[in-house]
Amino acid sequence: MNALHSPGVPVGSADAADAVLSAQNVTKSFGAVHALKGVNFNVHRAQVTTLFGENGAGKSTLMKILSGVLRPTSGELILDGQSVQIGSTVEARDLGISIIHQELSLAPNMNVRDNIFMGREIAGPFGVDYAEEERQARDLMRELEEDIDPLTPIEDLRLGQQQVVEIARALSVKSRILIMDEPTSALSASEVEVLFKVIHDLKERGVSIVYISHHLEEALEITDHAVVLRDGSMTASAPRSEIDLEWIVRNMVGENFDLGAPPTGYDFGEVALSIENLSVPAPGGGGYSAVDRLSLNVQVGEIVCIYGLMGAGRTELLECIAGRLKSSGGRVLLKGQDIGGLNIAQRIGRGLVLTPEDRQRDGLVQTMSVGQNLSLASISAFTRGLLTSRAAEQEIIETSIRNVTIKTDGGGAAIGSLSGGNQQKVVIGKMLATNPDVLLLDEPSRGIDIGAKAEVFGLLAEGARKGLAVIYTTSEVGECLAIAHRIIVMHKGRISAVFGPDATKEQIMAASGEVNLVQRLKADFNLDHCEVVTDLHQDELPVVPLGLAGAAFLSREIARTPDMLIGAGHGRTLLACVESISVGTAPDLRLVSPMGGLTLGNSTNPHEVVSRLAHLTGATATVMPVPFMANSASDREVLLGQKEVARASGLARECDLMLVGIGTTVGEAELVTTGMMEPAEMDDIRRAGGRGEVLGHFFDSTGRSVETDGARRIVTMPLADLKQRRIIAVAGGKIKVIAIRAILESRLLSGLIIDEPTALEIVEMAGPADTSVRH
Amino acid sequence: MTDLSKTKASGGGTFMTAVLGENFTLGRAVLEGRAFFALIAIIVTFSFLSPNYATVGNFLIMANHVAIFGLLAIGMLLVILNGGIDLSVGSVMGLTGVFAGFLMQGVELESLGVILYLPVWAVVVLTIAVGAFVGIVNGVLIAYFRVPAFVATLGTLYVARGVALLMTNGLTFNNLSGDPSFGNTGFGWLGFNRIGGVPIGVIVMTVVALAAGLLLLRTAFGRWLYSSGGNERAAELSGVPVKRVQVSVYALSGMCAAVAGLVLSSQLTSAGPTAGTTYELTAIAAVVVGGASLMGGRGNVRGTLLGAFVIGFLSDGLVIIGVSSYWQTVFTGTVIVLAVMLNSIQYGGKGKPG
Repeated sequence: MNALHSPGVPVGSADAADAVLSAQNVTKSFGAVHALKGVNFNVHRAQVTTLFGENGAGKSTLMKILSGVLRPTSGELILDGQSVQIGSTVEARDLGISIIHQELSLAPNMNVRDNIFMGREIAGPFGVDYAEEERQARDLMRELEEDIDPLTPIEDLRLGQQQVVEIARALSVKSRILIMDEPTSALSASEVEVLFKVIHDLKERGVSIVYISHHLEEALEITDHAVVLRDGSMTASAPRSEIDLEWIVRNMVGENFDLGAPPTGYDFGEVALSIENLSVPAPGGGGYSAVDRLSLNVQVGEIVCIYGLMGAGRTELLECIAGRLKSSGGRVLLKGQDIGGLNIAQRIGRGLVLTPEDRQRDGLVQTMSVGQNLSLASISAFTRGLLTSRAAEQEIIETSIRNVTIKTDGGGAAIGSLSGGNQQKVVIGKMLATNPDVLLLDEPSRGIDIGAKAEVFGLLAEGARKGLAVIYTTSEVGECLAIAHRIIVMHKGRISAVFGPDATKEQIMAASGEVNLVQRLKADFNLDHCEVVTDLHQDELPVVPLGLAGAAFLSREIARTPDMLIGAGHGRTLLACVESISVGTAPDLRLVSPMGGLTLGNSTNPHEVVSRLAHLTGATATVMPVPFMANSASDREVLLGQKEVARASGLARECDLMLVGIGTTVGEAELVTTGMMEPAEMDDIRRAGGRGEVLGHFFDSTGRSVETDGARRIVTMPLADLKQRRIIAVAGGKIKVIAIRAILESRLLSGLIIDEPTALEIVEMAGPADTSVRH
Repeated sequence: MTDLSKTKASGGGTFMTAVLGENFTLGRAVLEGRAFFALIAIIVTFSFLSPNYATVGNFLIMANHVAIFGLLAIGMLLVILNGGIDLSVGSVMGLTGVFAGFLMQGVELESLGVILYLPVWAVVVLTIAVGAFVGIVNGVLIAYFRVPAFVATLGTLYVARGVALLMTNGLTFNNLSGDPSFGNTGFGWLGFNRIGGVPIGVIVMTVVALAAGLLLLRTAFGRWLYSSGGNERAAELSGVPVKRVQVSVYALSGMCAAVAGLVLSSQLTSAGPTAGTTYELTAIAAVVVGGASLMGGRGNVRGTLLGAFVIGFLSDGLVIIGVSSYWQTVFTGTVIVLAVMLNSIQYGGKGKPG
């Protein structure tokens, strides 16, 4: 379908065939305000339809009509070819339409199960049938591949998980159409990935998704169809294959848009703000530093942008500079003077101001008028003696409204009557009214439309030209490159890279730490395959997410080559992989355990993984029916020479794929706790420098093989044979960082499936990437 | 005051017009001025029911009763604007009354072997200081030790009442008139005298109300109070000393309670330790009837005074027409619930999406 450039033109009916729900010629008026002017909108069956538009374009109104919150003034809704009236959200739910609002509607004090079944409790003979509810909740979580216990209180879940619970609730009522309003606005990049995976799965199950996001690039990634609204009319609609970012922006704002350029034509002045080795403890405890010994100088006239992922410490840094958070070390100098002991009001008095990230929560007083909000930070400027001067206040308000170009009826208007962009301008105008020297802005572009963004950035550029030192943060790379003279990338409380205005988006994103974990690991350790999985729980040992990822990997491999020969190691993580695997029968599959597996009774001996897998797939399994450790090195040779063992090691030498776990050599090493080795034997290995174990071979931190008397007695295939094979390790967890690193250093692995925090630590042990630091 | 309510009227008015059409503005006006219209309705009704109600003399007597609640309510308004609540004002009233009575009996300084009779002005100053002290204790507990306002002031409610009982051993000081030979007469002036026919209590309330109105509308402190009540985090980031404001409002509330205590014990010519019991609830009711939001940030002195008059004129009117005091309680309760309901309509409506 072609883009429509004249508003209100009906969409071709050829398209309506694959529409599960469509709004036809829908208008909605609030008194004299026309929020929607004859919109035709199709929700494509089992696909993601994204609705783009600036604030106030009518996106929310349209979604509210589709979900039964509002009724259209005229026009009709067609569901599966039938005209329907949706009178309430309950009716919408019965029709299979659910909406997930930006602000999640979960009761934080109640658990997952109770939230999912809130309002539709399953009745049993004695009140609510909690067991049945729990079973269904568990099933839903399994379908969504989320390891969330139904009995966990919502408040203990991270935001990303809470969103999954909302989705589960929608699925539990058999929703066919799921409307998601800004679902990613509070999620970290990795959580967004998880959400997108869930969305993909939902599509496969036939769920149609309506998606709304301000984050255009992100939305493009997930969408199948794009629809653009402007001023209550649909301006364009097209499938994903025909559009790009520029197309969306052009249709949203009606022209090519540019967020501005760094102001030039003047020299920077002296250093206005100087941060020296500043550390800020994470708010709410946790014992770590949100900002870690960070140093930064900003000159008069300079605009510095701080880019970083959520949790990088940007907000904490700015709030500490502004005096809201206490530092745990370092100094903040304003025009050369230490302002450590000053409170927020005193810092404002000295010319250092902050506009907060969340303007509703921290920026605006909703009970006061636009004017009173604007003058709030400069009350002393219009106080004469004891009393305030109305004339002086009015002058300040009018100057501010003019300077930051707020569209309002005047200072007396209610703050809620302004659009998001104008509210943001009030917050900025309020701080500018104090005549600051240093302006800190935490996400000034958050939740405002692109036109307002350009205006806000224009204001900042203008301020810098007049001698303001500006620091702003952003989560959108495009906004770093708008007006900043210098781009600082923060990662885990530190500066991970500094760029000039000529940097590319890729460079900036790479330095922010998360995006390129896979690339970094692949490059640093010569891996062909690498997966970094997100652990929503951040457990010490992320067995479940690793197991799921490992299982998915293994299923893919088996599906591709059903007659492959797979060798498998041992350990809890591998066992988890096997347990969550979902392949059908694969009778041609051959499995082999390359190590001795007779140990005193325990659940995770080396054969367990292979035999479980064989049981699940009907594959033939070959094991070494000898002990894990021989009595001596010479005994080992004898054992390896036995017929059965020789056959197994012969097969192992020819494995197409070797799936292994990685073990530590420290106190809680699995080999010791499962009784496969004596603690003393492990101590020997550790003393000899052994840090990590794979398939009964030990390596030190530089990746060299460690041989002790004990290690030489382990019945396993020789290292030389291993080196030829394709070995994929599944491992993770904080306690295994050093072990995994040691194995990676040995260059034995061709692939790694690992969890995100562990991967991060391993990458950081290597030090910051040299390539990413440039000025 | 005026500009705030105008703001609300215009901002809210256009919104309601947009949703409900032009003809709603009248309803809006009635809603905005509900305390005023309620007061008119009460006066008109009782004037019909009793010929003695609508007389200047009766109005002045009723106003003198209202003064006590009015004073407490003005202090309470400041606290409620800040988003807090002060349950201790009734007890503080009792305590300060007893304290004043105690000073009027003469303070025996055993070490010097003399009995000190303070002049009345000094008694007044010291009594107000006691009220401020209790308020500061409340404020510090709430602002710095993060005790919820409800709990902190509930605690001081008990403590202040207990101290008042301890000071008198449960008895009442009956002689507050002082002795001309000691130069400490004149305590009764507050309760009995009139200037131009207006009882001193009413004048005191008027002065306090004007001062509070000026404080709220024309000083930096007033703006701080409205902003920190409306959104404490935003106010703090804008440089408002939110903790100092919080302590100050409780101190001011304590001082208002002390003034009310002085006026009451002067009116009664006695100071009993149980005076003012449950008055805090009437004060809260007056503030709420006057249109203030219990969430903080919204309300004004004019409304609060109207609220105090509505409650006072209603209960006095019921007494005059001879309705049983049990029914008075029922009526007062109904008025309070109605007021809060209307508050919800006025403030809650704005949150609904358009």
